[in-house]
Amino acid sequence: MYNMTTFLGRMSTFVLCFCVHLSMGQSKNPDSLISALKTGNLTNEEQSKYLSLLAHYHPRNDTALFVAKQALQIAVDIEDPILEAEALEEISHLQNKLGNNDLSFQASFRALRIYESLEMPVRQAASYTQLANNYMSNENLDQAITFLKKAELIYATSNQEEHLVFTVLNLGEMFRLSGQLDSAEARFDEVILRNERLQSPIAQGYSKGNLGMVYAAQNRLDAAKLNLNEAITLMESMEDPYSTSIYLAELGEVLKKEGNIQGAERMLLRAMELAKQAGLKEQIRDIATKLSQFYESDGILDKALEYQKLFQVYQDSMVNKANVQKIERIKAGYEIDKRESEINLLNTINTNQRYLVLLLSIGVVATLSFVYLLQRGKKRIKMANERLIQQKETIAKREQEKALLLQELNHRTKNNLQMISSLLNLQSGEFEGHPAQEAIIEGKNRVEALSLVHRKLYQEGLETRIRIKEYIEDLVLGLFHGYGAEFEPQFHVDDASISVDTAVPLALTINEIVVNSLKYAYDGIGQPKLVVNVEKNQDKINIDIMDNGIGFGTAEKKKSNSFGIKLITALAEQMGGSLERVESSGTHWKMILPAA
Amino acid sequence: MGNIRKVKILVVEDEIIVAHDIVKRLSGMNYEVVGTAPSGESALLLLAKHTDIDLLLIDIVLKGTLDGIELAHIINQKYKIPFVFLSSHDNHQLVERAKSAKPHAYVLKPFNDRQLSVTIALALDNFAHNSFDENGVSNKNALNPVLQIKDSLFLKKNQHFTRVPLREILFLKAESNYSTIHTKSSRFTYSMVLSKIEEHLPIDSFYRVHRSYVVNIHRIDGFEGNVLFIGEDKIPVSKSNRDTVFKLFHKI
Repeated sequence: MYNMTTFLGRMSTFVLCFCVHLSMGQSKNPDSLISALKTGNLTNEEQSKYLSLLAHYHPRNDTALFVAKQALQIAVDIEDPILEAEALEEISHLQNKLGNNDLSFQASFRALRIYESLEMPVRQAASYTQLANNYMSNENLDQAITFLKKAELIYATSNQEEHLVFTVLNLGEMFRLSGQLDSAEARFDEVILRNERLQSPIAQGYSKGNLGMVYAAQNRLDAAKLNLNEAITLMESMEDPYSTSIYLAELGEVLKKEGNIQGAERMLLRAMELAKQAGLKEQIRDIATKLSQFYESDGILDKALEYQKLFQVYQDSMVNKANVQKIERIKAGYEIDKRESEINLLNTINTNQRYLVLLLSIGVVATLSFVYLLQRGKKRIKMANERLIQQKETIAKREQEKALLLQELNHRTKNNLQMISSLLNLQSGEFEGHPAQEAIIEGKNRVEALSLVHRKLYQEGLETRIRIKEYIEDLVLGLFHGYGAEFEPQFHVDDASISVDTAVPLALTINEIVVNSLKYAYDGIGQPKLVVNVEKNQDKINIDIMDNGIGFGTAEKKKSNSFGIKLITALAEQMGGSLERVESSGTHWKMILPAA
Repeated sequence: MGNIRKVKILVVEDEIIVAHDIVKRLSGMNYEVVGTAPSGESALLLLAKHTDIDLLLIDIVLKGTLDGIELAHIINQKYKIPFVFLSSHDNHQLVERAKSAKPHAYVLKPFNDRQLSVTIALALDNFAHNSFDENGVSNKNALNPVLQIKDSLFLKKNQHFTRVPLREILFLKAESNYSTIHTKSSRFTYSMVLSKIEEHLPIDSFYRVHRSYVVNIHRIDGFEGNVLFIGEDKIPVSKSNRDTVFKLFHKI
């Protein structure tokens, strides 16, 4: 579907120019386009297309230009050259309207280059037409003709009959304006000929009218009249006041040349009326000149003056129009700047919002990650705890087993010690009166001394220890009992603990010394005494065992079993302590052991 | 005999060497071991056979269907004889269970003579005073040397007890810090004052007739003036006691 637009009149003549746009069946109503754009459900391509269309149909040039630039920006962003070129065409068109010919040229040439590179000849032709229009605006008719010829060639070879007709029409007009009347006539004839098939009333009207104007210039007045009348009829039926008024004015001129003053006046006045009705200021101005000249030559000076004044008014207004156009241009520039700055502001806000959203997203993600990690950490801790509990249970179970084993071991040790002690005791009974009995009883005593250690053992942390006071008292009292001693031993023993490693040799040592005293010391002693002193300080245990017996040097020494002495000497050494016999009235053994 | 005799003990121990050792030790302490039982069942048989057992030593762990503690429960119910638990176990659970049987004493293996001796004394003491070994400690000092258990007096001498049936005692005579117990066939001297022994005698049978004499009123054969005849012995009656003493005879 093609949409044709007729625009731009210039002075008393006009150029019929048209642009071709792809309308794609969409609504041409700016409001519906705006609402479509606002829904936001559009792809970038559709946005660009819709914006171009909106630019084309928007009644306000500044807004239209702004929209077209948006369309261009989107097209460039998405790298769609066709949409870019279409947007450029709109921009060119609008800049031309706004009088920014340079900018219009720029846009047209850019569009043209795109079409050339894409090898789209029909679109190229449209660009050529637009450029021709631009050149015409610059009154560079030769160039306009050159570009129109290029367009003509393309349309002719590509069978674009309708476009060809209008291009030839425009070309004819360019020739006419440049004074090449023959060429113009030939073009217009061609249009009429070609239009027989096309049957376009517009093409027909313009070609007839323009041909009429050519004939008028050639003073072929009848032909001119004929064509102009036909054109006027067609244009009136198409309600084109602009063209109609021009052709009427021209017909007036022709009639005037013929001398048909009345007819000329009538035509001119009709043209004026029509122009006034349609508000066509240029036409009013130009027709006013013609009327003024007409009345002047006719001698009706007041009317001539009246139209001269009217001309002046519209001339001023036209000058004003240029100013207005300029103002419009400035305004458009300002509006665009304003909108751009607004857009920048919106973009900035948008960007900020985007950052904010991004930041929030990161925050949310971070929080979720944190929560997840926390959960996972918790789970791990829980699992670790469960494992720990299991391990604890296992360890507790093992500890229990160990405790049971230790108990069993202790039980067996004690039982075995009891067995050894029992065996020795039983065996000693077999040697009543024999010296071997002594030895066996001594052996039994030693085992019982060890047994006592086992009975008194207890755990202090990792160490197995023994309470020295309780132990020594039990040991000595046991021996006293065993030897049937009639007196009580005296104890001065610190309530301290020692390690089992010290306890065993200490037990044996005390056993030997006390047994020795009980056996040999008190022969003939009236009030026998035995004193056991144990004092524990920081790093030493001082042990003193004293009797008030007959003394070690005499009978005791002879009788003493050398094994006992050897034993206690060796044991003192084992404990890393010292053992000495102190001179006294009885026997005094002094032992110093490292505290442990 | 019916006279002063040794304290009779039954040893319940399944470890035969230890059982023999105990027998030897107890014999050495002047106790009489009536037998050794390796199980609870055989112990019960011996208990049924020997009705005059004074004390039992019971190993807690025994072969057979009854263990020492179960045996102890039966003894508590049927025989009411003091007993001593013997064990090399000192674990809490077993000790708690053992306590439920209310042992009169507790001796831990390995033991020596003194521990055995002290434990027996403690058991007799606790039984006489109707108490139990609460803490398992067998080192209690200052035990009473005179105990009355059932119809007998248990008298401690040389670290062991001997048993004297009350009805066999004719009279007791104080000689300064010593006291002599006279029976029909023999006399025994203990290093304690008469009043200490007198405390443990039943007042319906024994009566202080003189500063130095306590007589078994059931064994008085006759009297003349201020003198009581018990067998061949003549017991003086002090003036202050005279009326009360002779009133007794009228009653009899």
